[in-house]
This record gives sequence, structure tokens and C-alpha cells, in this order.
Amino acid sequence: MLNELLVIGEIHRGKIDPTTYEILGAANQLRSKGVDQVGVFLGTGLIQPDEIQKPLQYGANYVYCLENPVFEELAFHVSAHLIRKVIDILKPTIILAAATTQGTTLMPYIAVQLHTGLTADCTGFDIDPNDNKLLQIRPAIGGNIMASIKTQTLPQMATVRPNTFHPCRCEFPDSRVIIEKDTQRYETGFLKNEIIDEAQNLDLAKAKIVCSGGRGLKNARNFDLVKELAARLNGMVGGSRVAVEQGWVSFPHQVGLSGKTVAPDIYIALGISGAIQHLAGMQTSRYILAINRDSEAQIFQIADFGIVGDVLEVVPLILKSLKERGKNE
Amino acid sequence: MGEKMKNIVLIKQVPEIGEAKIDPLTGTLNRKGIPLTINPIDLNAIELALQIKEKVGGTVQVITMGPEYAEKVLREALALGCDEAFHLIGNEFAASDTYATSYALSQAIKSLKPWDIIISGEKAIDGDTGQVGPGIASFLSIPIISYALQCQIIDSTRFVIERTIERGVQRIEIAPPFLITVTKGMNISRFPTLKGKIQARNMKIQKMNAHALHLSPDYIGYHGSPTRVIKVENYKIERKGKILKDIETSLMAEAFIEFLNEQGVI
Repeated sequence: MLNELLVIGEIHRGKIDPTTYEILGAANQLRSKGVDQVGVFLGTGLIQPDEIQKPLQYGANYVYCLENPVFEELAFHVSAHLIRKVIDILKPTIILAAATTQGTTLMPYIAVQLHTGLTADCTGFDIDPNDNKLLQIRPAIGGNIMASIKTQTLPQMATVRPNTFHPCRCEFPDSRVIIEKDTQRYETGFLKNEIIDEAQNLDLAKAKIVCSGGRGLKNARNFDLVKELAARLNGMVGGSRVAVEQGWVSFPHQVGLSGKTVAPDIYIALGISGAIQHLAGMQTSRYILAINRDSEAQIFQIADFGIVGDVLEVVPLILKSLKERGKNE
Repeated sequence: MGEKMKNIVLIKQVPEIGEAKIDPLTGTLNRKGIPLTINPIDLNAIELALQIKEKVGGTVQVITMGPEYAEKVLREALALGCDEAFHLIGNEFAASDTYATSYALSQAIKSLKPWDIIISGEKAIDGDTGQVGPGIASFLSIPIISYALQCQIIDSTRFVIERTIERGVQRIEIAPPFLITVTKGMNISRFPTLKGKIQARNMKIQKMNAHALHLSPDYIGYHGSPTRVIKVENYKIERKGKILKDIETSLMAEAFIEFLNEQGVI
């Protein structure tokens, strides 16, 4: 039996979120292995007609767009019911959504209604050639471990780590768009509801350069070295779980499995040993630079450039040298 | 209203960070012999429940699912000021995935009706999925307010919750019932008092099991879990990078800058 895959797309203020195209990239890699149709579901109360067409340019066979204002309310207990009805019509064997605040809330709600399993935060997929089942791969706690998970029931559902897969441009013949307008009014039960968009000044996920610090910085004052280097390179500041737990940097800066996933051009890990949970949040960076005292630290295995040394000695020298360069230019 | 609130906090015992090991046979977490503690964010969930109680009155019940030793985290919650503790226990719950866990806990919660708000941490540090809270809300058919960063208690029928989302903040005013999952930044959890600790020692922990709750064996434990860990692999990604060591620090610093220069960063 061939798999039919449905991506639950994400839309913000009428625009499709990049994570939707990333998941399409992951889906298209599975085509040669037994995934036949790839569709995108868009639930929206506000979308441009040309935006609806876009997933077709990224390898979707079809877009199923359900229009109703309630989707703009982020009332997941309501949208889950509407999406569930669409799933009953389309009958996909695989359903994927981004592991965003939306996807990680909506997907478990839907999975329970469908009485099926859900795998969180996947970073890889494959199809088992023996039974055509989806292998859902995710990092697991307890060391350097990747777990492959299979769902016994149908549909097989998973959320996908943002910034893990790359979108690919491709189009299929006979691709189509289905638009359904649902005019019913749905009650959310919310007495008031407002969504306040904030300036994306802390969107680590979109940063070109991220400079992160960890345990090796030892205290909040030393952590200023990380901030200074980030500022000097026009980058953003990140931190390991230890750095956040110690209060050296706030939670929105946390990189890793329980924080943000980043994929900048340059990732600089200062005094970070490279626990798998951290690696899961930055391993797809283009270039990784690391400074750590311990030559055995795991971070060096994925570094493009590493220095075995004390961050507290090396970073001040780097800053000094960068300052001098600045003067000479 | 005037009715007394009854709010329920879901807590979980987790292995101390860094101590956890995967059982190579089942692919699930091996908890034997590893020091256990309350999942850190659950303390923020308990704190919210206690703050609601202090502001509008009522009681706080706390519930966990787990083996005998999970009782420890319930005692901790009682020491902090929770009023009643429930322990969902039994071998048949072993190796439950998030679906089976959501089912069992939701049925236990149903048996405690009536209640107003269900509170949990955003995710547990061991499983790291964050799926059980929304799953329970789905079984109970109530709204889910996840990633809550702030919760303003107006009165027992009105709560203003701010949840963090990628593009900013969502502010929702809502009346119970609902399920809220809290993030770490919501509050600073209190410490137990000595008096609280002593009281907690003698408080009764109410046991619940699958039989008494009439749970279908098809939906609980390993057998009732739709997902299966089928393979665990050591995980190695390697980049053949240039690693400098045992040379003068200033030279290494220069090489670092040179690397950035080559990439066009500076």
C-alpha cells in the first residue's frame, strides 16, 4: 500500500510559514520510497489566492484549503475538530505538522480524536521497505541516541523540527487546489482573544550568526563575553540549557531540543560540550565553530573549526583582535 | 458563582538530568536505580495552582501516574501546600506512550469530577514531547491553552492567560474548564516549609488503578500504545573539522578570526 501524506500547513497573517515548505521537502524525499500523494492542508480565515498556490511549487500534489475565520483565533480545540473532518475525507496514511507552538498543541489534540499515535519533534524520516510504514526518527534522552519510532495505527502522525529539512522547488503535473468555504460560526469559548505580533528582534531561528555560551563560561559576568562576541559579529546570543538554568541568559535564547532550533550560516559554541539535546538544535548550521577546554567534548565532532582551550582565555583575545581590526579598517 | 474552585495539577517523576539511560531492549527509558525528582516545570504548575487557591479559595489536587516510588513527588507537592494527592499505579501502565498516558490520566481526571482547571508543565524533561497535556484536553473535550507565560487571576470565572507563540503573544480571557500548560518563566516556585513537610508525611495518598477506573486494557500501557520504539542507535554526526590544540592561545584566536574571515563574516 502506498502512503498518502498530508502536511498540516501553518499560516501567519495570511502567509504560509516556511516550516510548511520544509516539511514538503522532507515529504518529497520519501516519494521514491513509497509515498505517492503529498497534500497540504491550509486552514485559514485570511489568505491571498496566490499564496494558496505556492505549496504546488514546492512539491505538493494538491492543496486543500478550508476557509473559516475561526482558524485565525488559534483556538486549537476548535480547529482540531475541523481538521479532523478533513482528514476523514482525505484519509491520509501519514500526517505531518511543524513542531511549533501551534503544531505541538494541535497535533496531540487531533491524534487523540483519531485514536492514533503521534511522534514529537522528528528530525528524520524513512519508510520501512518491509511494511511501507513510516520510520519517525528523533533524538532521545540518555546520551547519543536516535530513536526510530513506528506507529501501529493509522494515520501515522508526527511533528517535525523546524529548520531541519530543506524546501525543494519542484512541481508535479495535474497538481490542484481545492478550496472549501465553511460559513458556519464556531464558538471558541474565549471571552477575549488578541494576538499581538512582536517585532522579530529575537528570532534566533532566522539569525545568520548565532553565538552561544554554556557551562564553560562559569558565571553571568563571564557570559558577557558571549554577548560581546555576538554583538561584534552582528549575530544573536544563544545559550545551552545550563546557561539558561543558571540565569545567565533568558529562556528565549535557549538552543536545543527544549529551546529553539537554529540553522545559521555561522554557529559559535563557547564552552558548550555538545549534549545531544543541544546538538539537535544547531547541527544543521552551515559552519560550526567551537571553543572548549575538553578535547574530547562532543561538540568537536560536528565542528568545522575548533579550538581546544579555555573560553575565558581565548575569547578575550579574539575580541581584542577584532577590535584592532575594526580600528585599522 | 461563589462555588469553590477545584483545580488539578498533573505532575511527573523524572530521572535526574544526565543520569537517564535507554533500555536497549524496549527502547524506552530505564528508570531503575536512577535518582528521581519532580519534573522541574511541574513546580511552576503547582505554584500557579497554589496562587489561584490563595486568591480565590478552593482546593488543589495533584495527580501522577507511575510506579510505587512516584509517591515521592506527590509528597513533595503536598509539602508545598496541595490538598489531596492521587497516584495512578499498576504494572499495566508500564511503557505507556503519550497516547496511552493521556488516556489513563484523562480517565482518572474524569473520576474526580467536578473540577475547574487542569494545570500541567509544558513538557517533561525526560520524554520531551509536550504531548500529554494537549492529549488529555482532547480526551476531556476542553480548551487547551499551551505555552502559558502569564496567568492573571481576575476571579474564579475569569483568567487572562498570555501564551508565547513564535510571532509574539496570544492573550486569551477564558472561564473554566480548560487545561493550561505552563512554561518555566511563569512564576518562581516556592519552597516547602518545615511544617508543610511534616504534614505531608502523614497525609494520605489515594491510589487509583486501571481496574477501579474501568480502563480498557486496549488503551493502556505498552499494549495500548500506538507508537513503538523499534530501534535506538548511537548517534554520530561528524564534520571533519580543523581542531586546534596545544598551540599558543593567541595563534588559535587569530586562526579563529581567519576562519570567520574566509566565510566573509568579518
